[in-house]
Amino acid sequence: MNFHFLRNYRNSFKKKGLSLLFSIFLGANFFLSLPTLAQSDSLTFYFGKAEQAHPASYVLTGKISSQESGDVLAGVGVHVNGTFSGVVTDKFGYYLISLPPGIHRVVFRHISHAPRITEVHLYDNGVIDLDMITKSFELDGVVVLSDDPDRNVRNPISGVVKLSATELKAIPAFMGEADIFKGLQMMPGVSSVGEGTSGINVRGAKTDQNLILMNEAVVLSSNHALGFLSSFNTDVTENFTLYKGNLPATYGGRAGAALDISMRAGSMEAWKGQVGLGTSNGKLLLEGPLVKEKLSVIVGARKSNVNWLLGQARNLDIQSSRLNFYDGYLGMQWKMAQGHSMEMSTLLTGDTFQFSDQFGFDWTNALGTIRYKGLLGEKIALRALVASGNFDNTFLDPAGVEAAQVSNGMRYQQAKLYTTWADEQHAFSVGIEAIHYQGKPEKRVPFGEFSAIQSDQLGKERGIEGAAFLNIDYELSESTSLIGGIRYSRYSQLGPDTVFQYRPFAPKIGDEIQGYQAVGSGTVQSYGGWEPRLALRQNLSSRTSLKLSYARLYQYIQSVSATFGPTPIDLWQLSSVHIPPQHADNFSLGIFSNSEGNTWEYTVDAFYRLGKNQVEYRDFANLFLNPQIETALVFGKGKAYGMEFMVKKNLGILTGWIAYTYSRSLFQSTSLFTEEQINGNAWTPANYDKPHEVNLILSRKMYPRGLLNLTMNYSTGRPVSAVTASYYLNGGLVVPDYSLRNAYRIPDYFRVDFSYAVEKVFSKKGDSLNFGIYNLFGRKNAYSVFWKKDGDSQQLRPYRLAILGAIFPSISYSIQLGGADD
Amino acid sequence: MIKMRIWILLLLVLGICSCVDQISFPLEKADTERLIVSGLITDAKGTKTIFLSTTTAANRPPLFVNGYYTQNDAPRPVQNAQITLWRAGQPLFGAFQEVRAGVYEYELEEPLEVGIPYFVEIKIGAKTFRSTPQVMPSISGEDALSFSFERARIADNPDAAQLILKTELTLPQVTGEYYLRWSVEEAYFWDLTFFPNPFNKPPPNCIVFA
Repeated sequence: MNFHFLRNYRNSFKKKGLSLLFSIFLGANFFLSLPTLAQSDSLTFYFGKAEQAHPASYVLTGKISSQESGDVLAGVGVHVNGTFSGVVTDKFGYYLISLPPGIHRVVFRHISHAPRITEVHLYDNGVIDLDMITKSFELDGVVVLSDDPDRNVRNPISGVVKLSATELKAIPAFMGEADIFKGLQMMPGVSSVGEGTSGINVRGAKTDQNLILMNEAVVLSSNHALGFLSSFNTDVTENFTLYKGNLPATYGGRAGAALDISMRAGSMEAWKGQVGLGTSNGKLLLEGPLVKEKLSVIVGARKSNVNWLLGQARNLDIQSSRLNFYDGYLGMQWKMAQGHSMEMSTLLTGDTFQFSDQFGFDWTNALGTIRYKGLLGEKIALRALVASGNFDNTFLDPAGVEAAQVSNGMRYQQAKLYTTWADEQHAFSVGIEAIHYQGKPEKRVPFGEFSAIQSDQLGKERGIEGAAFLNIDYELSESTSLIGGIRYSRYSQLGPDTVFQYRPFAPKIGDEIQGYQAVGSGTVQSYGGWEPRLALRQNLSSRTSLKLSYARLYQYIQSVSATFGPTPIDLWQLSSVHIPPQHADNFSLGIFSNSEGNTWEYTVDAFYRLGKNQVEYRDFANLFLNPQIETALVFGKGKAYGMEFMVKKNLGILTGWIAYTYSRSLFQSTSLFTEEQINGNAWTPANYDKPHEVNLILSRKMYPRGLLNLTMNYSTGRPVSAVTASYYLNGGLVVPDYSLRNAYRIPDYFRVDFSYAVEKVFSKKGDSLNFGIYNLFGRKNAYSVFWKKDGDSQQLRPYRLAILGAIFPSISYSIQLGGADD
Repeated sequence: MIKMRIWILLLLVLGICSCVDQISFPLEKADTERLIVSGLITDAKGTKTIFLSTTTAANRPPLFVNGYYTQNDAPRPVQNAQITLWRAGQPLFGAFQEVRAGVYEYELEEPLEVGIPYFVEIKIGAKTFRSTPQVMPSISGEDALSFSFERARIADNPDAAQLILKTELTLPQVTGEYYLRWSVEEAYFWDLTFFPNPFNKPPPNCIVFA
């Protein structure tokens, strides 16, 4: 985008006496762009007169903004006469297109906003500035990247998924509550260990290898509602972008994928709200201007309502269990001046869960951010971020003489500053980033008056991670473009710490400790490395492109767990003397093609990932209050590879996609000592290795206000260690003999969900009713397989545990309060 | 009215929900059975017991029981084995006697001697197995066993009668190896929970049974 051109055109209109006409149309636009806009609404613009001689083309340009937040909108696609022109708004919301003289139907489309349809009588150069309102799902079904239908062909980076909160709500969800992580699991290459586990596995990476960002700030733990929901309330979410392994240099700190979640800003126009009640939770949304057009606020909150469900269970333990969770989001946006804005956001989540009188969890997550966005010139933008996060985690054994409470956590502060310079063909981003991590002491204290447990405490590590990066987005030619970058990251573990010394050429086990070194202040250990990034796109035709990507990623913090899936009590562990940082090399090669008009989309994307210093746990690992946590871990290499296929229908009454993913994820320990090996250093399937996965999602508009959705998910069962034999010990005790780790698989997973959503049921102001059935066929999909004695016989039989082994219908209703009539 | 119907449907569905059930799970069994030997030999006089059993295998022959051939994966006792205790390379007088299927006993009339290596030899058919020789240490710990009858919650029974066994162990005030005249088969009941319970974990090197 050349901004000098833009300014000149504006001046030229004034000279030609068109300013009055132009302002009239802008006024009309302002009036019509209140929430009365529907898809069929159209605006007409006149530039010049038809009755005169004309050159071959005129320029149409302008700026597109969000009506709610006032922010400029990047990535708005410009469609001319029913065909996508290939022009999208740039980082500053500007577009520029050259069109022949005549009458054109110009439609502006964006992923999370209702399209703006215009009729342009173009007999002179013209400027059309528009704002767009957030779209309602009644207008579109699940159409990923609907703003820019051929983005998958043009974007140099492969493996990018962008989804709006509105589209997410169209996907059938457990208990009717749409969730980012559950929605992403319908995309190729994205899976999870099972129902009730939080986090996602992207292209064979562990869940802790995902960089999760909320408004660019790191979110350490997204575990919420025992994994059935993530921390991010879709009501306050604008959209989110998942990079499946090929990250621009502006992202770093994790060895796998990056999920960038943009939260919504409150309305600058009018106060409005929404109240919702579902089978699992109640929720509230409130937004509006504190100072009109200057300062807005948005508040979103959810509170659980599931204990009545637990009370219906037949199992006494479940009946007497309690689960409570809440989350709240507060966001404020201040438009300081034209092109300059400040945002403040706070996310709080809290969970408590007590399983009968046996054990309980309690964990909270807090994140606060302040972000500045500003245009320093016509081509230069600056962004600055400071954030502070806190994660607390407590689990307790509430009964008996061993009743105890163990707590740990992590506190961190983040700062990021970068600037972007862009013109029509280039965009350069350069910046720095730093995160300071402070592990909280692990504490064990007695619980209750009868506890005989002794209090104990263990200090945890502290470290600082810094990075500098340069990212270049370069349009080499009409058919070739690249995004290249370099990032240098460095991590230092800071004292104080006690570093245990092990006998050389011996395994790291307690018996091999020779002594320890107490380090006071200063650096205990440092690591660092260069992280090159490259993404190249070559068009094979106007609708087909070939993409090649590579990224090296370092990771200095990991969650360690002795279970097969992520849990709320996973321990965040910083790299240290004995725990080197992970790093991974991610490669991908794909072909992307769209049909005429972008109605259909075809994708084949292959990936390969090689990781070093990957972390696994040893058998019977003792992770809590362990001063030598390295004695509970196994280090080795990771390898993941696979191929994703997807056919997607973007437009029409019926939309959706079918995706098949072949994916493997393997781990190989590399130690010479048996204590530090898994399966004798053979390549072993990771806990989340699921070779085959099929996802189908269909979304059909039911005019005038309904949307019918159907999803299907099939995947290979995850690996499990099986009891292959048993034997007697000392006469009567039957002891199981286990296979090698992860030598078997639980039964395959298959689930069909259905939902029907309708808007404006009782209130014309805006309400929605969502009825859904999760697990339509009531299939008892295995969460785990375990062995236990079969009655009085001495045989150990396999049993299946299905977390959601039934049909789960749900109904939720929400009503909008305030705001303008819809 | 419509809403009320939906809530009723919810309760019905949850009522019939079952979470755990037995499934068939194909396994790749080992080609041959493996011999499992367990027992405890102390320096004290009295009866010493050794247990022999085998694991399942892919080519395990069916077992003839009560007039029927049965085939299952349960462990099987090893019968008709010859077991002897060796002292400093010489067999002690007499062999272990099979008192039940897979259970072999030996009446030790004199205490075993400190500082002397002992091992067990087992002959099954044409095959002979020997344990690694071990020297009897000179220092022992002391222990006491007691029991009580109590009532406490087990599974869904909030007032189940239980026999509680307690041991009290006094370890010698020495560094280095010492000897316990008993062994506890630490058979921890590993309760199945829907969610990971950090307090429900076995110590290292324990024996896990289901």
